[in-house]
Amino acid sequence: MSTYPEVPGEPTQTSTAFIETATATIQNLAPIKKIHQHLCAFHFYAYDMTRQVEAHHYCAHQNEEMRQCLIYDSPNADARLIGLEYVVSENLFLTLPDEEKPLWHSHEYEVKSGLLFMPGVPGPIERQDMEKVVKTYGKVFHFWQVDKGDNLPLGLPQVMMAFTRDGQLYEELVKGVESRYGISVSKERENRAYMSGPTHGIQPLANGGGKGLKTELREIDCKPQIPYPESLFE
Amino acid sequence: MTRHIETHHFITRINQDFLQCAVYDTDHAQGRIIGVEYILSDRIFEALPPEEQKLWHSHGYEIKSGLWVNPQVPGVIERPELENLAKTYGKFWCTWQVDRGDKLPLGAPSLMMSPQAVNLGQVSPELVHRRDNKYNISTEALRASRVEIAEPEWLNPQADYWKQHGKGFAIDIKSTDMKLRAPFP
Repeated sequence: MSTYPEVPGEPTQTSTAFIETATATIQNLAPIKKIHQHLCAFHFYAYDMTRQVEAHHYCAHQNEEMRQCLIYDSPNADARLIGLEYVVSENLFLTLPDEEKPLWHSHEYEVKSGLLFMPGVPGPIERQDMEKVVKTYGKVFHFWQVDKGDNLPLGLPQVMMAFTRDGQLYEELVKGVESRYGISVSKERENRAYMSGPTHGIQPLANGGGKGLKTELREIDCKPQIPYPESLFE
Repeated sequence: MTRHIETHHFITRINQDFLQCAVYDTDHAQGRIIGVEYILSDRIFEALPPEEQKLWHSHGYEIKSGLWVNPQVPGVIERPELENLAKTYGKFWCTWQVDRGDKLPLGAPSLMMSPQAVNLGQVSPELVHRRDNKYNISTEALRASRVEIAEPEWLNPQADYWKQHGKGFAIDIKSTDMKLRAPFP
């Protein structure tokens, strides 16, 4: 069970649950069925390293160089969908415009430190994929600040970053996943010592360009609509 | 508001009053994740602070007009769902602007709004026709069949903020100092 406050609302009614069982059977859920991987890692708010969140990534490959992940706060059936991550190869990352690059983070430290792992997957299989992930960059937004106790997704999307060196992540968080998943982060670090990050090194504009990032809401005028010759619904 | 997109919502329910949706650009296996939408019952929505309510949109018109469909679901099963959903509010952050041809997700998330029964809120007819052809449905016919779905008696004026105020919202990402625990990066 999640330790975060409960989402307000009535328990799901039986009639609602019945309908949803039916729709789950009837409908084509192809994009969701494409998800083939569960990665566990930690993110922090791009302006506050002290706010750290355990993030469960459920990922699908778009192609060899790109994957897209739904991020949940736990691996349980009642997990909250708190964000999204896009993961791209070094190649694709380098094609991004310079003003885009700071929004992306490197994965080299997360992989090499052993902090990024696939729950339940044996080391040799996990490492085959980690050899690829270690060279990639990711872009994460969280929409739900569960770490500050929000019981609903309030406020603005948040840019999230990943850890880049020792001493940043709270030790309790590491111990938490180690005990729940029966893994040893320090042992896995040794297993992954042979891996190497992006071929051209970590691009200096990535990871916020070394600075913090924050989101702000700006009010804008609505663009006037070009009138349609005849409206569909008049 | 001149940029309209077709969206496919894959939904999980946390409880009777709250749904969370992964939003894709198509329902094919190759679909791209383009955002996340949260859906709240009117009851929970009314308790949100007004500043938060500005970010949400209503669903009544989308459902009544036939724009919202649950592909492949027979009407008899779809109907009770729609009756519940007509009274809900949604908050949709779009993270990949596929409509402008972005090959990769660029920039800040965009706050999305729902179609409404006013000129500025109308969806482009071509987009609707393309969707109708793909699923072999008729939005016109759906609209007629949904006449009896109850219109929400009250729509919170903070929702669909643009309708009352002519203002939309954009997100800027700004450089700032980071609160640190250790050097970064």
